[in-house]
Amino acid sequence: MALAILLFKIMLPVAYVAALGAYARAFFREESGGSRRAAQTALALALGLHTALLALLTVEYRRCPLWTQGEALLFLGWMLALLHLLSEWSADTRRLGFFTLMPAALCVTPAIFFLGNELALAPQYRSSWFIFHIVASLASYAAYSLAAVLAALYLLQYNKLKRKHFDRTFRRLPPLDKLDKLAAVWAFLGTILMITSSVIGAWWVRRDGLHGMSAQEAGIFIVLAIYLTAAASRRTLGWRGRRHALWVLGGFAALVFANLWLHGFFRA
Amino acid sequence: MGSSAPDARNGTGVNATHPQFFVLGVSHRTAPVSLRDQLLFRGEELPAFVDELIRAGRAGEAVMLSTCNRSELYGIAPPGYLPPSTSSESGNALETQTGAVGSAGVAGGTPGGAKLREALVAEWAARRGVDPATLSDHGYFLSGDEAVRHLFRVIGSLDSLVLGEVQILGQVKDAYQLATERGWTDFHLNHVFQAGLHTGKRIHAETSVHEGAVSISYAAVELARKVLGDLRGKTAGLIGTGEMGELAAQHLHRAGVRAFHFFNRSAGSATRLAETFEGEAHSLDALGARMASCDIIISATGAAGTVLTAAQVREAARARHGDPLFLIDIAAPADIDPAAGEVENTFLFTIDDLKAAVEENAGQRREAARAAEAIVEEEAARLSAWARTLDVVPTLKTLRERYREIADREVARHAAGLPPEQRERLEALAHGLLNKFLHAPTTGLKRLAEEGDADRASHYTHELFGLDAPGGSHDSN
Repeated sequence: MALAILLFKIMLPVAYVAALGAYARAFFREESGGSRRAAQTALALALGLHTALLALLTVEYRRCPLWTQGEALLFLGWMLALLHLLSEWSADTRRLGFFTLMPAALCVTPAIFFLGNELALAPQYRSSWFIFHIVASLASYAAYSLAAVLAALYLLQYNKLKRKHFDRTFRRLPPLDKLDKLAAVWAFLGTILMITSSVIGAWWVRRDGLHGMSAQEAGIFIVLAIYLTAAASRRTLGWRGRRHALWVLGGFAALVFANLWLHGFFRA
Repeated sequence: MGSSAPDARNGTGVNATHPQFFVLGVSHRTAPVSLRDQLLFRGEELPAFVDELIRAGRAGEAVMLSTCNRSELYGIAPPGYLPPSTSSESGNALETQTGAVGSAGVAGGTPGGAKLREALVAEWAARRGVDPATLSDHGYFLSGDEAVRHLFRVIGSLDSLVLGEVQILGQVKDAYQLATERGWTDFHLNHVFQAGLHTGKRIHAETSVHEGAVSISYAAVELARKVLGDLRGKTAGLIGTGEMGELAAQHLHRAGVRAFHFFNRSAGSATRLAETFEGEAHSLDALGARMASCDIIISATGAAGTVLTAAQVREAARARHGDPLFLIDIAAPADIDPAAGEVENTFLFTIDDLKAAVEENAGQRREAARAAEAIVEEEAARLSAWARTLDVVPTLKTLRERYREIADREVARHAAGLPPEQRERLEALAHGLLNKFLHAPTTGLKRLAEEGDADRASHYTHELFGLDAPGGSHDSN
């Protein structure tokens, strides 16, 4: 089992890098039919390996592989890859695979290293409610990541249109309207999931008499406030397009800050 | 077949199934528009012409493509014309005699090819009231692989007046559909055209040869799509009612825009366009009030000064509540204040911007055409390999029939007196073994045929399996 896990840990980043490379070729090269098929094959392989590794870890640890930072990152990468697939299927964003799969690859690579450096979850937190809470939370992170990628692409395309740069990237990117709407949809879904996660977390903490609000949780409420403001201003004030993209990116930056800094990643 | 290889044709049926594919036509590359127009078939003229060709035995199978840029007759030559090559150097069942001339005029490479070409030219010229010499001078006649490559290039829009234009694929599909409905196509032409349509789809899917507008007015529509996405349900406002404005309105209408506002100093021409496109006509004074309801504004007046100020655009953008506004200024001098392009969610393009986009797109299409040509070569080679396997079909048929007879005879001998279910099992065993035994020779024979060695392979198959001997040499009885 340990050997199989080690093998999967080595193969997984390689598979993601291969998929990213194939998607990059599909986006940046003009002759892209074969590259697109290669990208989808590589992604299927990566996602298969990823699912298998999570299953192996579940069997090996006899619990959900969500209790350490490495495991959470690995699970987040898996959710990101799934959302990427969902986006391809529902909104035909195949061409954007290089960008939408990038966060998954960026999560998986460090996750593999963190997996060996495990931090045990305090016993009082080992509850099935923790799993619901963290799954909803990671799903919201994945949705926010996808929204941020689409918002960044919106700004890129916006600038190309304003500066009249009709280059290959301009031709490859979808219309502004589509990028704007997709970013808004994923940001909204992320907000719903984040609220769900927060409600579950609050209920669980109260039921089990655990600690009060932490700095990271307070940070998450700021993130929620940013995304809710983005959604509300979009609807009521007509802050669409560029402004909405900036709000989404701002929210994502706050999310990263809340998780990386307040959560202790940067602590010595 | 090398020079020392035996000729296995006599009595074996080998090489009896060569597809003699050809094309006779004129196109924008070889003929002036007046001649193309004269040679164009309209309405029922086309079916009548092809019916007559097939009835008169000028073509075994046929598909006629007739558009304003090309008129081409694709067909399979009837027996007696374009005889198959016996040279092993050709190595290709489709590569018979190539009468390719490009723009230099029609020329058949062999007496058979020349005869077919002359007959077809005469029929076509007579039907359209054109001098046959004129058609010969401006036409082309290709056969074998050259004709296949030509068809694939036509379908892939590599031979089009505007490289990468997408209409041609539909036009070829329509021509082929008409031919199949009328019963003009059969095994060979069906295979060639299906391979051609597959090639066209591959080129469309795998290259960007069709991407990017290459006309100014269409570039405007394409840029609008890049901002607004699907244009269906969008509203367009046209300032000025000149030729450019009307052309842009046509493109927008084709792209799905159904709500139009026409603004002009004189109500007359605005009303005319409004009636044509089922829109509304307004005077220029109404521009400020109506502008906010427009997603697209195209300005093409002959006014000396600014028609649309940045302040008006800013006001409209505010009223649009964040919805993007797409502005095109194709007037010279410019109608729209350049500062309008600075307004958030507002995109202003001038005629120079559109020209730059067109040039960029044309260059990109030329670049993509190289990849498309490679697909044409690949698919033509595949079709050619398939065609070469046809040479060994009679041998394979004989081989299978002969050994099936032997198997059936043996089953009959050993199954006498057995109950029906045991007899069936014995038959299944015999046929299963037969299929397994013949699998390797079948695939080997096809492979050798694909490699251009069909005659020799057929000859040795006949020798080794005793196919020429009466009853077969392997029949133990």
